[in-house]
Amino acid sequence: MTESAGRRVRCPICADEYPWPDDPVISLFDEENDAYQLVDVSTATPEKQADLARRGYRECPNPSGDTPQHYLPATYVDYLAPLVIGLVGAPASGKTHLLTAMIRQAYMGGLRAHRITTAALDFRRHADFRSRYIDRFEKGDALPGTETGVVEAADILLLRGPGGERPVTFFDVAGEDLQSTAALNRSSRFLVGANAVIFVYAPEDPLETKEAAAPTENRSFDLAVERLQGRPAGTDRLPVTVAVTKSDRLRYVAPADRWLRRGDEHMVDATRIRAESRDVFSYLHHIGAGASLGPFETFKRCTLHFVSASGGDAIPVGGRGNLDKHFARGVRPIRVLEPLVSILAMTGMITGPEASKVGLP
Amino acid sequence: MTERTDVVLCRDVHGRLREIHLADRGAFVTPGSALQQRLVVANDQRLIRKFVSRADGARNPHLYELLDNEVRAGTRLGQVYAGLYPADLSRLVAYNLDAEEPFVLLRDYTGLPAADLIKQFDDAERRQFQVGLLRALQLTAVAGVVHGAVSPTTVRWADGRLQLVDFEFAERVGEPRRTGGGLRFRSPEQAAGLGEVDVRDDLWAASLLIRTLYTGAEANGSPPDRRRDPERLRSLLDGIFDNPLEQRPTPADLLVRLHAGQELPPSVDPEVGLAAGRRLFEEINRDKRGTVSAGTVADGGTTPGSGSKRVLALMAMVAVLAAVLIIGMVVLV
Repeated sequence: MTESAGRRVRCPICADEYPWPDDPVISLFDEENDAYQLVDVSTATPEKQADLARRGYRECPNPSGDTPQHYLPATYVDYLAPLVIGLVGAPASGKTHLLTAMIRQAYMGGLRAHRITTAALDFRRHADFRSRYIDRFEKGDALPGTETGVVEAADILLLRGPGGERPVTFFDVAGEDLQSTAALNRSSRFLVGANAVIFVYAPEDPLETKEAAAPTENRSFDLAVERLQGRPAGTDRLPVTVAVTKSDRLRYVAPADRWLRRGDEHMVDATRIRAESRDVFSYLHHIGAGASLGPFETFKRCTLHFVSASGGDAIPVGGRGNLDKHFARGVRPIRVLEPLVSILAMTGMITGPEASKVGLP
Repeated sequence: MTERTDVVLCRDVHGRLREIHLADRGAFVTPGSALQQRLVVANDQRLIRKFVSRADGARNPHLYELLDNEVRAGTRLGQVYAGLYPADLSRLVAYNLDAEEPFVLLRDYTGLPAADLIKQFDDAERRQFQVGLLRALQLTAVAGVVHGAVSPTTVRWADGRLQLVDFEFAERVGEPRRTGGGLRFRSPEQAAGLGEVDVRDDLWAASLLIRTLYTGAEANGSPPDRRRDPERLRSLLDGIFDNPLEQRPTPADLLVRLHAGQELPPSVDPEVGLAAGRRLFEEINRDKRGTVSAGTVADGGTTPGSGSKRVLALMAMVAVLAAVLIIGMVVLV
């Protein structure tokens, strides 16, 4: 395997950095045998080479040797620096529903207003994400919580827009893993390589949690914030956003009602985003969820948003007692792209004078 | 025989989840509602359950919007009059819009629809009715709610007390107007669905209703011909039908014209509790300022393009310096 001296890449999965190989041997996945096959594409025409590369993979050498065999799309480094977005939040905070609604909405052209198009970079991974989450979500099924121990990225997309073409990797791991203090827990290692984070908070119902007040700690936030603070780049350069999920529960409560009624935004307006951030902050502060405001206080560039992935609460299928839940009136995502739009503005994927001001204090 | 009760999950006016046991007491009908209604009992309190059945919702999805309007207005009124809720307005107890058959629970109304009663009113009742109607609208105005369908069918009456119910076409002040809600009683702006909702919007319909009270004339969707109206009625409604909206009086103005008291129950700004958080937000931002500049991005990089911009700026500076040097040398030579 030859290596390209100029192209180093940090694998989003194992967080190791290594020189990206530029030899003509790529891995193609053989669906029949459920295995990768090495294929030398050097004899193929340039058009075929490009096509095979678009569908092919390269195995990560994982120099640290601490992660099971894993692959990245063969074209992972053919674009601007990859964006790795991690979702952080407690168990059942709605991370998976938010990510599913967000990716679905992006695929439906929800970023077109910002002149951004969405495609899969990793076709297999996206097909898997669609069948496991998006299809079920569209049928109105409530999604199960993410299993613990997941180290793989949930999806890897390719966004094309005024800021260029950029792979975007999303991580959605179990809340239990994010709360784990085990030093060897690999699931939350994406934090090492993440260059944007969506902190997910859900206002819980005391009737369900049997707790009268909001928790005095948000362990998944606290651990993530501390680990991110310890990175060489610190807190100055990492754009973060706080998404208050399940905001449909607040659809008639100020100030969330005002924002939810607006629906999806069609342009970036830094002043409006700041106003929403201030409202979310003051709401969380008011309900005693100050423990979840750590990301805003810590990171220099941060926005806050009210979102609802499904538009309503899931109810037990066939009545109370059933653990399987569904959204009786279907899913109606509300403002799920706003956190992503803020991240894209803060990372230069969405350009312009307004975008450059997003999240600034 | 044991009474059958349903246990339902629903949210109160503040969005808090509640579990309520409901016993059905049969169908309930009001002429001003397009929704199905049942009379139910919870904790010995009679409630009205307005709902959209699966079949109705499939036939007419617009019904979900009507229910949403009712809940939105009811929760707002419940939050604004959290301390002492005025009996002049229907009162929301709880709602669940995520159920198979979404519903709202309202305290049982007082009285009967005014449509059948106003024809028999004496002078004292007419005055009580108009004062009661204007007071109800003043109450909704304080909360920033416009009923949107004031008519003899959405106003109830009993023993000298009026109650405004069926907020299915309600809107919030400052939002874009919607169409719908019974064209006969709606102002020209409401009928056209133009501009922003204003606290004076309901006064058009209320004035038509007051006029019906005194003249028996039914609203027909056009500005009324008031030439033969009694002088007192004409002066009371002066400026409503022949003025642009911004010059029309408010419900409070009409109560002044009637020399009626304007004592309202205390109201609460639902956002008053957010003030401390807003101050803290600004304080934290002040602390953050000065250490970050526009264009800062993650992954140790810069906004795409900003690097080349810096190079260009550097080149421009070098070019300017070079030009100054060359010009200086030429001048010296």
